[in-house]
Amino acid sequence: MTADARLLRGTLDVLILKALASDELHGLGVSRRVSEITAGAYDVRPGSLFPALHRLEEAGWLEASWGESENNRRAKFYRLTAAGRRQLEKETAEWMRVAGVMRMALELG
Amino acid sequence: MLPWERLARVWRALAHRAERESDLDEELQAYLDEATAEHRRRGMSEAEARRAARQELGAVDGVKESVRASWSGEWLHTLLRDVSYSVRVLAKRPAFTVVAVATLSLGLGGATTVFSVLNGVRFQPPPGILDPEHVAAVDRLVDGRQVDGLSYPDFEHVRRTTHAFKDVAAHVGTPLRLRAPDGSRRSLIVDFTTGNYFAVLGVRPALGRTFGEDEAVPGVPSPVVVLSDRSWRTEFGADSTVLGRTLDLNDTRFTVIGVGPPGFEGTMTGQHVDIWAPLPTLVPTHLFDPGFERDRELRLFSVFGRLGTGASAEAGRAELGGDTLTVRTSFGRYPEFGELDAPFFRLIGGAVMLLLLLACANVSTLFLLRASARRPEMAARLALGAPRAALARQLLVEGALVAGAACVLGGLGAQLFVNRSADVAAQFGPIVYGVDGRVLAFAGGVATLTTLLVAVLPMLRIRGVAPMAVLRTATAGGLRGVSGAQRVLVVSQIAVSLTLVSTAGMIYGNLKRLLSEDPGFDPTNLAMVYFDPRRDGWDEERTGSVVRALPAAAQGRPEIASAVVSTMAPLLGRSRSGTVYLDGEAPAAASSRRTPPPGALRPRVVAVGPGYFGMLGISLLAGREFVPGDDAGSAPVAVVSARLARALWGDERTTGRYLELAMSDTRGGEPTVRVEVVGVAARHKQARLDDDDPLALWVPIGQSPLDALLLIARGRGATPSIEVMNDILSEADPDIFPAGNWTMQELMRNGVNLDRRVSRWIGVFGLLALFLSALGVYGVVGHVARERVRELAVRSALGALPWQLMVRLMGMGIGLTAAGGVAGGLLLYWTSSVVRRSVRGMAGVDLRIVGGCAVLLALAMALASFLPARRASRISPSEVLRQE
Repeated sequence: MTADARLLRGTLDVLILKALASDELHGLGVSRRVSEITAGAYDVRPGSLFPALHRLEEAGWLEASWGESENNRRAKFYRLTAAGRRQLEKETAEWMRVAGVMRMALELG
Repeated sequence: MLPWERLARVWRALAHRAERESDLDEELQAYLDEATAEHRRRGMSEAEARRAARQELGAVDGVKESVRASWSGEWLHTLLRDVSYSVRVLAKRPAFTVVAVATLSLGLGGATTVFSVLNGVRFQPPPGILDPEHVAAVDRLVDGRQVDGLSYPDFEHVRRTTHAFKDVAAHVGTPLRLRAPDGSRRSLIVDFTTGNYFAVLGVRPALGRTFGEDEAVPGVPSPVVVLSDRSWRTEFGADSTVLGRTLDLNDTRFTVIGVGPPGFEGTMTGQHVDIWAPLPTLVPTHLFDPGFERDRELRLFSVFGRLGTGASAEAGRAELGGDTLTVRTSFGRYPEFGELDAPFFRLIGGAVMLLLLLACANVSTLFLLRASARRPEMAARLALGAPRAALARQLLVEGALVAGAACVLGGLGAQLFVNRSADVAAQFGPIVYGVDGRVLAFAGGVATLTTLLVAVLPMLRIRGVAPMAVLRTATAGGLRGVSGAQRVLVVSQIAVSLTLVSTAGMIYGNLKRLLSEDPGFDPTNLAMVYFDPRRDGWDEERTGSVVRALPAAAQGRPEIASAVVSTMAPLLGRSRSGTVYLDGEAPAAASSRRTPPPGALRPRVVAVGPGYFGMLGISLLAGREFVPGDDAGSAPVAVVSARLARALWGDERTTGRYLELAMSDTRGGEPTVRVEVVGVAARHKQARLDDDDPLALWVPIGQSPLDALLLIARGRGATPSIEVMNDILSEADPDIFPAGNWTMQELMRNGVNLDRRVSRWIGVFGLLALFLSALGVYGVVGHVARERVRELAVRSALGALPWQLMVRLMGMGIGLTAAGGVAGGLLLYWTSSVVRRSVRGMAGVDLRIVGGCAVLLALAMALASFLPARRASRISPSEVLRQE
């Protein structure tokens, strides 16, 4: 497992939720958005993207529907549900706290 | 999420799975299209763009598999898929599946049946009792053995001195004559009990009331009875107005005051109680003499008590001191009954456990062989990307299916068997009966665990093997050899089957010998009828005149050749015993009463009519037999058995000597009588078939106290019928109640019935075992033949003859059989001591029978290895080698 893959684990879910916070996206769109908001640090491969999307949908945080892509192709779009939004807030707060603590520890400790 | 919501979701997921699956396909396709389009926009050619997109996506099946893993209800889908796949795999090899399931269900069904019956008969307290685990019986200790039956003073002692028991009750049951209003007579089981009997057992009447302490005061008989639910239904048509009616029992009128609850039939083993009556009414029914409650020798009462809160049987035992009285831990099963059935169950139980083990061993062999055969399949599936865990899971499902089918079949079979034998079990008295869930769970658990274990073996055996290597060698015809585990399994199967078959053979041989041996008397055409003058309330005078008249009356009939009256007949069973001393050596009466001195001779004592020995064809080694003149008015005489004569005087041919005989009577004494020995009887079978030289002593019936009697008659050319025998009795005195009929044929048959049943069961198990081990050998040799097909082909091409190839292959089977035979011999040596202790008259290992069984076994195994060897020896070398 590469360092990136290790990083990805556990962070992927919250990144996907974040990617979908403002807009509904299809699979490739989610992948590109995650790459965008992490300044290219995360390249989400389909092998982890699709299982994660389905897992989040199964958890009730995302809902999916078929629609038209920008290229006028049929594509499956994901959007946050109310529960997903709450989950994103919760996880954001949690990550902030962890990040704060880690930063304090590593910089000041 | 609530459980039912979760369930609904799983259900929805399963129902819409196909949609979901195509949705996923479409989603991934859309992704590919989008990605391709993106690459195109960046200037790639169509083909390049498509390839790049595909590369990004990776192995589509892998992606799908991980997506599916996140779906709810997916485990159920996987399970269903595994099940349907396993069913197809099993159905493809029906022979394997049927044999595996049949073997296992046989083993576990047999074990469940036998141990359920054993549990019902041996360990369950009688039904209908409140908290039976708090009821414990009090036994008497005789030479370290626990014996049921205390005297009334013993009972009072226990009741007075123990604190572990909240209360203690006593009872004595006996068949009694009921005279119906229409004059007909029936025999019912009456249990005479202390007034607290029902309270101690916690039994409440279904109708009316039970009797209490005030109605059971010794010396003040109160003629009331409580009917059992069963007798109320069968004898009184479940009449609700039965209360207040009167019954005539042994010419005493009793009033019905209650009916017991359904299911409660007393606590006697082997007897369903019909009627309960207060203990003091033993006197008006002429069963016991007045003052029996002071008789220390009348040890006929069964005693039990209810333990107080927190008290244990051990506490009661400690209080009783353990010298003469003790507390039995399990209530309801009498010690004699234990003696009766223990050998039966020990042998059958042992055999059936062996069978269960054997079934497991056999299924293991089957699975092991199959595992080898499936190596290529497993390798192929691994190569195609199936995860090892998924393979193992599917194999486990296969094993579970086989085990599950076996559990269901075995359980149903046991249910059928136990239900069918419930009537037989009912003869043993009130019994809680049915398939025992714990037993089934145990047997099923053993079988299931074994199967699951051996089912995943194919996985273990291909661990660390590169799939391609396996595939290459498999197609070339080279498989792995027969493993050590397989050899051990086959050898132990052969050993077990040899043991079982030989044991059955030896038990059968023993009973054949017992039946064919000269019994020492002439058993042809003998019939007996039993009657009890005491129970009928007769005095000695009336009895005496009937006894004198009966033989003559019988011989007056054309169908009777000869007849005699006695208290016991050969092979009928136990009889009273007395203590014998050399003349002048009997201790003073007072000290002799309680316990005879150690080493005292205790022969069985039988009172017989004049001409008894001649009539039965028992020869006398010396002296004479009894004549009509040996009666109450003449000097006491006796005939002794050869063994008693030897024990007393070291001489079998002595007469005219005197001995002293002490026998307890019902009046509380043990009077000693000095008797002259007038004859010595030759060896003949007495209480049992294997018992041809016991200590025994015969006295003239005219010089004996009142006892239950037998009329023994020998028919002319045929055994007299029951009607004829009963007719003779009622002609002699219309008031005699014939209480039981036997023929000598029946007694001889019954004497070996148990052994016959044991040998039949063990024999069946043994033959099954033999068949299973033959299958094992067949499988192993067949497997070796397949594995060495190339080698055989080469040998054949080099000029080896078919028979030479066959010998090479059969060598394997022969080696296994020889090893199994040796192991079987050792096992047999060990089990034969158990068998000898359990089967009467059994000598040591009978080498002729074992040899015969070994030959049978060897033939079966030779056939089992011959068949696959012959097939293999007929290979065409060119064909085999061409396949390379």
